[in-house]
Amino acid sequence: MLANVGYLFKLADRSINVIHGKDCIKLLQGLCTNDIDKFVSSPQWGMNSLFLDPKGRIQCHAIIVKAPSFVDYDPAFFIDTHINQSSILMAYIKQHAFRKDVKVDNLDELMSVYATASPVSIPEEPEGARQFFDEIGEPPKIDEDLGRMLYGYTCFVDPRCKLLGTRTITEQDCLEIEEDSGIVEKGSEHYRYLRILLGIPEGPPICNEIPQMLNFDLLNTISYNKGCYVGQELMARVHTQGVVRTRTYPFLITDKLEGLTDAVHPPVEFVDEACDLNLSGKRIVNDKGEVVGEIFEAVKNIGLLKIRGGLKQNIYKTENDIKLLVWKPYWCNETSSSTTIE
Amino acid sequence: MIRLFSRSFSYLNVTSQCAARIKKICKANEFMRILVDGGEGCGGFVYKFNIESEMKDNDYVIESEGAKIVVDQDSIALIKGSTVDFTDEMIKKVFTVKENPQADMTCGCGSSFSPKFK
Repeated sequence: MLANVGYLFKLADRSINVIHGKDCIKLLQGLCTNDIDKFVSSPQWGMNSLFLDPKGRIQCHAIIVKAPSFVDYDPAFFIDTHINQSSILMAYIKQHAFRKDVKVDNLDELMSVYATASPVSIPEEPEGARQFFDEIGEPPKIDEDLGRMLYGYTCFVDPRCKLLGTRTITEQDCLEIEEDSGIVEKGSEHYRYLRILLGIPEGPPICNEIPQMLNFDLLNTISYNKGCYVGQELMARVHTQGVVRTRTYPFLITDKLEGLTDAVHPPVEFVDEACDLNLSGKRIVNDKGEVVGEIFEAVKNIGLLKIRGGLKQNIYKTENDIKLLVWKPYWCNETSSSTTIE
Repeated sequence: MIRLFSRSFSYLNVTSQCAARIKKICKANEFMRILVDGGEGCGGFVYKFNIESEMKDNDYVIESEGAKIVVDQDSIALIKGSTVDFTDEMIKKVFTVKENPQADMTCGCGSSFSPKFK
């Protein structure tokens, strides 16, 4: 049997809502940071997006996904969001759906989100591209109103970064792992370790932050030429200034550094399950003792931090003298964005 | 029949420039309709202006200096107490809704706003 060929993660911390109705493209175009019109006419099946408040701060992160049998004349999208933010996002959408033919239904009891990722291979297709399984078991039960939208499954390369593998939205407990395939089933906590080690923020810790500071401009999330949407003024201002002074990086607390130099990111095995430091919200200092940033998400001995002025060294410390190994994420190519670190 | 009305209270304040412009562009049976639409603009709600001739049920009528502005019931709740103005500049000639007491924030160009959600 092959060891660790890949993982199948059941993401129990994600919530699925379906948004449909003839005005749903127009409404989402006016609310989210990414270009829905372009997404609808593209072969992409999943799109990363943020919902902002009028001041440009993040309200909620969501992956917008075309329903399995998507047609642009009667569109339906799955909104894949963190379970704690689902009700906030749906209230936000309903508040703005004034005079719009839009319906929203929660599918948490029917649908689940899965992710597959492998430390040894990444998908060949670009981010957001649709994927197909060799075969799938019984088709989902058909609900009278939502049947057309829910029939089948939708699987796509993670729209943020292909190192996160693929994402699948399907009826609950529909995916099975073949014996001797070397694929291991894991839960959402394990996926969170992988996401943090890759330096990709999501979920409640990013609320009220500015998107570019969390590298979202490098994660296929913000369209600068789609026109007006809520919070667009701040996005445009940051973009035209051309400078993002604060960026996000992953960190690890470890004593054993062997085997890290050649890896894309430290493997998930570096996560110390016994560690419980609770570093969220702690400030960090450079070797001159100056406060240069803050940790905004931490779990076990890993986490994500924001550093003002970019990454100048590889070891930073918290104010209570815990050493943090910080690195620039492998996918983070700032030349792909017009905004750079000053 | 006795009809009560107030001369000192109006749902909207209409500037003289705005009233003059409406009179200039509207024909005898026409009026300007102001509509608030959701999910658009930098603030999430956008003001729309149309020239129309047909009234609908529950429309509110505001008359000022001979100009007629009509607002539907849903929209009036979101713009009550605002000032409707017309600006004539080299770059644009535009009707605007200003000083909206129901707005938490207005976008830079003035065409959209974010209401105070209760």
